[in-house]
Amino acid sequence: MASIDIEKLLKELKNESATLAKSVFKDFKDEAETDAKNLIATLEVDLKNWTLQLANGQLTKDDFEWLVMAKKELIEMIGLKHAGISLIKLDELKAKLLNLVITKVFGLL
Amino acid sequence: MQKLISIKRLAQKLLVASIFIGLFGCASISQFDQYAYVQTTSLKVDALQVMDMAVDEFNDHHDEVLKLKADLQKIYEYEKNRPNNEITLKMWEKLLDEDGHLIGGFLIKWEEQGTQSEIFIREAKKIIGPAFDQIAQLESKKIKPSEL
Repeated sequence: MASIDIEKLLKELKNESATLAKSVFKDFKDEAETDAKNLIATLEVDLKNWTLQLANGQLTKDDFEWLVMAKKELIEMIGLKHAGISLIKLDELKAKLLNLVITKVFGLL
Repeated sequence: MQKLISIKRLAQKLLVASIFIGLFGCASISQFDQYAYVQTTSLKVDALQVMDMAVDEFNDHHDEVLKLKADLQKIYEYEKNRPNNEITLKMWEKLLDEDGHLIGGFLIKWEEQGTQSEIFIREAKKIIGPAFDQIAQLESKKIKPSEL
């Protein structure tokens, strides 16, 4: 059986793991940024509309406050979704890293 | 002697592999569930339809509200029993919270106040619809068993 250069193996694993991590989390970062931008845009429009509707008597003060709180809770839901997606990405990364390690280590046996 | 060293090296490698499997083997979040996804999108449609009824007296639609509440409770119970599903469960809790301001809170507001204005319903739907979407979007991004 050929001897294994553990240092070389670890260096390769380290480099390839970093590349994997970057690729797995890049899409997540882009999506979170898009969500945040859309959210700020809709929040501004909604607040303007609701203020106008409140002034016109189309919404009651209770309705207005309720909608503001609802928007806050939607933002929390979006935050939870992103927390969940980050765990999904973590699992994807784990699976890819595991495959990488198995391929590398067992390829040397 | 050479054979003994080879066996020792092999054991070391297997140990390293075992550690990695142990570290990376357990999932952080549940896998994709087709039933949960379909139920979430279907309940969104049902909830928005019931919300439209809020221009009428709550008591005129008591049965529809009860049916919606029962269906929402069923999916909540289903989600509660899925492993590694804490985030989706928290999202459902927020959505159904009767002290909150999403579908659970909307139904309570309607019940307490009798009717709701068309404008308020329209604006509330623009928030509650996307709140359901967040749960569906998270589910759709979960790893499918076939992808493992």
